[in-house]
Amino acid sequence: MEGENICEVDSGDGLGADIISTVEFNHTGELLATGDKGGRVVIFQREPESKNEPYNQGEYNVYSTFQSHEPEFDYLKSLEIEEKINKIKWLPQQNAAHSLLSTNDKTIKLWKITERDKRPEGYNLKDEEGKLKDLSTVTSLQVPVLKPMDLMVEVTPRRIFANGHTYHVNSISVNSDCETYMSADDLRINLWHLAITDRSFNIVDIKPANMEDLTEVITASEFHPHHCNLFVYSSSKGSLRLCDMRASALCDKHSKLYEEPEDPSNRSFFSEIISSVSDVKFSHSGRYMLTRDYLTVKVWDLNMETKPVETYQVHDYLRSKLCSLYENDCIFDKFECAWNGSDSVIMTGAYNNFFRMFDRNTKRDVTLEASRESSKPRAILKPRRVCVGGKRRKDDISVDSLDFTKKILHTAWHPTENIIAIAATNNLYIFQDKVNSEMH
Amino acid sequence: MSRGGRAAKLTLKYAPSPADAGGSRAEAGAGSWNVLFCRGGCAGPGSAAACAPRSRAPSDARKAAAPRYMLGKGGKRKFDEHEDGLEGKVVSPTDGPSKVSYTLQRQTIFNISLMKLYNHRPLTEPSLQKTVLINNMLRRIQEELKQEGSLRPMFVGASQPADPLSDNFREAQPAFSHLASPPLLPADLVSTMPLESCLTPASLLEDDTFCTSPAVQHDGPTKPPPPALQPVKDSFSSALDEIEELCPAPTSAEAVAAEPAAGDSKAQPSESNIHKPEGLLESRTAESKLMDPLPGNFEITASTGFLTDLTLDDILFADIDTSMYDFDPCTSATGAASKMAPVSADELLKTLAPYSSQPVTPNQPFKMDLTELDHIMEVLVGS
Repeated sequence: MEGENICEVDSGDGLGADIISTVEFNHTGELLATGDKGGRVVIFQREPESKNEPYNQGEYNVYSTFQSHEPEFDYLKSLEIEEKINKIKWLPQQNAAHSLLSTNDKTIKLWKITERDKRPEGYNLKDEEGKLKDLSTVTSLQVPVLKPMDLMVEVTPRRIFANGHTYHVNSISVNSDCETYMSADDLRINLWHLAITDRSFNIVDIKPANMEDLTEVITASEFHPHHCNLFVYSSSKGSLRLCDMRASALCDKHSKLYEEPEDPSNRSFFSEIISSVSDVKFSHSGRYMLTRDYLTVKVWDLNMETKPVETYQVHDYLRSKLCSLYENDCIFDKFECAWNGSDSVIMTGAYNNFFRMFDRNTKRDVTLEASRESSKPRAILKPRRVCVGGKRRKDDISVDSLDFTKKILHTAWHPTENIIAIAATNNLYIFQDKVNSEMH
Repeated sequence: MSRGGRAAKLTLKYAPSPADAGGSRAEAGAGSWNVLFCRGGCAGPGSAAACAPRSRAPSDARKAAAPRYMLGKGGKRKFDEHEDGLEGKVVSPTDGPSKVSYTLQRQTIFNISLMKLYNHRPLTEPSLQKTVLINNMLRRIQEELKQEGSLRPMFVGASQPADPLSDNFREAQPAFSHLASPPLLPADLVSTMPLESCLTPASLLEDDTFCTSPAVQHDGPTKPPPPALQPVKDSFSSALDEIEELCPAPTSAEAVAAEPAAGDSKAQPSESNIHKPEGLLESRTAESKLMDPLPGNFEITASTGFLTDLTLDDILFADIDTSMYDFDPCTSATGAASKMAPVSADELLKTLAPYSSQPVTPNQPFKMDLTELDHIMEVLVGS
């Protein structure tokens, strides 16, 4: 009964330009935007469920594709600026058009997506092709009428927020006031007004006077979903800082610092690297924060700064492999994390095209795989298991045969339903839980 | 709690079967996730956007840069076992046998970190986060070595890293050159390496064989050799090993003693390597370990002019057993060598490398082809 739409589109130009680099649902879940390494944005739209075509219920189809960013060259530094889309964030919809922000390493752009499904016909002075009519042939007046046409989706760049960042932009976040947004790079966070492109305000600056003293960078940041004055940013040392913009213009001094003391029994050379937070997300309620570091996901209560309230092991079996992972750079992979709509389940990606979900209430977790082989029509995903030795069941994967080139870094959860979008390299998977389609 | 080996306990992470999940609506997504959509690559048939058809390329090709699987280095297996035993527990340097693994691992990580910083030639700016994390790792190891090797301040002479974190940090090449290369090796190490250093160091006789400076202290004011000598590391590092080893085989000792010039045990390179037992790692100084890493590490420092060092020339020409051929390159050649450009020295190294890697038994004279010698002379004279 589950609709499924495998599109056997040949992918891969050998350059990896279509590796998906970000996935984001809009606020209703009707649209899903993906950005890729080649600077393109592809928007999917969910088919409205209708009785007439039961097989197409809830499917996502391509709605629009456009080139958001182009590669650039920084002449001053003689370096290329990648066109890869780092983040996409939807703006809350305020009229018939949809808007989203997309960013690469340096430039943020505001795109407006509009539909056109009618056009006027019957002009008096112009003919069908638009050429001026010979006035002598016009004998009567007519009122142009709107006639339906094939749906056309137009995407236009409305704002370009350039030259705001010296370092690489890693996150953007729209404020709940719907007027401002912030963009964060490795060392600074800027506040922009959506309508003003030639000015931005610096609200966090952790660049030391002497760059030799630099030991910590900003890795992610987000505005609080309800309080327009609060935002959080995470660092490469595993700390979170909650800042209040009312306190001062420059929020270098945090209001709250969330940091968990290191577990001495787990100390190793790589303790700092694996504690680096790769993603931070507020819960929908605004009460909690979710952070992802290399081996765990943690739920923090905003009211408790000393330690997270929940910690979930994503792939602890990698703890003994950290040196190899350091050598092949996998230890620097930045995994994202996501809440479900009711904040009861959290999800994050792992290697071998596995992704994990943790139910906060029942404390149960599941490992699923996003692969073409397991995504047959109407297939139900089978839970997977990684075995570390000892008893090994059929279909278990051993740690040594995990494919570390297949990593699921980007995941997104529908805001209200149990639908998830998983980006596996250059493939996009959308899974739906039809059994439990309502959030609990 | 021991976390060694592969038998670490893994709590069961297994969701209920779909049958279970179907019955209990309270578990969102436990076992009932269905494929709704699956697509790859560019726009589908319904879109009019420009999406040029592309040929299917295997994803492996794109991922060629990163190793596909983690294992794949057969030689590392042993190391991994050490690693498994190490990770996850506090290893203090005073632990017995684990110190070997600890220092070995630390050295490896140090080398890997340096390689990461220097062998990367990106077209785009490298990730600042990655650079900072690697930098912190190097600093931490350096601090540890500093504390351990506080008796050898020369190593510590390398000050804090500067350049990688400047605004032009992408030019990482020059950054750590001073970190990787302790001060130039004075000639005394080469020319005054006393033969007594080949004897068993007194520290060996102590109960605590894991003290950090066994052999070098014995030698007196020895200075660590600069990594710039990498090109001849086969001969030189092994010579150093020889000196600092706890219990060299008699042949090695004889070989060293048999050399006419003081301390020029460079002639017996790989032999001592073969004799060197594994368990003696801990006795080697941190400095000598610095020379162990892959030659690629220090390519950059090697090309920055160290080759013009007179010391190097001494080493080079000390290899030649001049008595055999009634030819004295040391004086004349050395004089000429001081005016040599780095490139010439490079050629010399290449010329001599094959010779230095040959195992030489003691008492066997160091032979060199006359034609090769002529070639060298020509280069020196600049004809």
